[in-house]
Amino acid sequence: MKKLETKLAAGVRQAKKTQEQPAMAPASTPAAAPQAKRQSDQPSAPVRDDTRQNLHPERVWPD
Amino acid sequence: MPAQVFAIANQKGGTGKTTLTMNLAAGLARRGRTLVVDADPQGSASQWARLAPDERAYPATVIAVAGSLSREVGRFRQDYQYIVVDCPPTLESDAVRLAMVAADRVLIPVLPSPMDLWASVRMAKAVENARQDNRNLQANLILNQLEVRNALSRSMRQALAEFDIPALRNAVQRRAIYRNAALEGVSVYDLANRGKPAAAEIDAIIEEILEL
Repeated sequence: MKKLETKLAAGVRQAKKTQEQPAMAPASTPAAAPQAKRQSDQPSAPVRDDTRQNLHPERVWPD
Repeated sequence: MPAQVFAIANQKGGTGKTTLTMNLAAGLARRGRTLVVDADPQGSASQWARLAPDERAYPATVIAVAGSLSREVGRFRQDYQYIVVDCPPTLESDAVRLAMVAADRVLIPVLPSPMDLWASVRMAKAVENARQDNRNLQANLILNQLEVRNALSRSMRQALAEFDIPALRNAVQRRAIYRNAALEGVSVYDLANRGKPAAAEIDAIIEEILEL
């Protein structure tokens, strides 16, 4: 019971901390901004389905 | 005397806002003229009242408001003794903030589950923000769907102490009768002996918030 209480209370404190973090984060510097823009301009890499990962390890082929 | 306005809010869905709204309002209606303001676009409170049987209308007036909440609440303040606002489950729309700006007290139902508890931290921040426009706003957490034999439920009290918002002494227990009441469009007060224990706990909550 005591353990549950401690875990719940710790979660509340963590949630409070997480909530406050974005407000405390430093604003992006002008130098960093263009770089961020360039990254967003890049087309995202196509997501390929790795069929081997979809199989059970014992049935991976070829391997 | 202007109405006392209670906003029932939590940005998390499924915490029992409408159930609490409708039963609190029914209990308040036994003490004075009561209005329910349905500020949730899902319209659950309005639907609840529409389900009421012809021979037993829901005891409070229910109106749906999509526009300026503070203006609408202000308009009815002189005509009612109590106004209960059922807020939508989001902080992204302006409705919850406006409800808290118009309210005397916001009640935040919290389920006895870790995720619900932790998500309520955002509500505490929203209350803090609303106080910039309504510095007299009072706020209370209220434990909803409490299971007395469940260790997690019993552990909630201690965790609630971590919030800057005080929790009400009285809580709402998990009871099937609340769902039955919704289904019949009535409150637990209308369900005779079946609804007695639930009505007693709603009464205890009302007494507590009216004395605060």
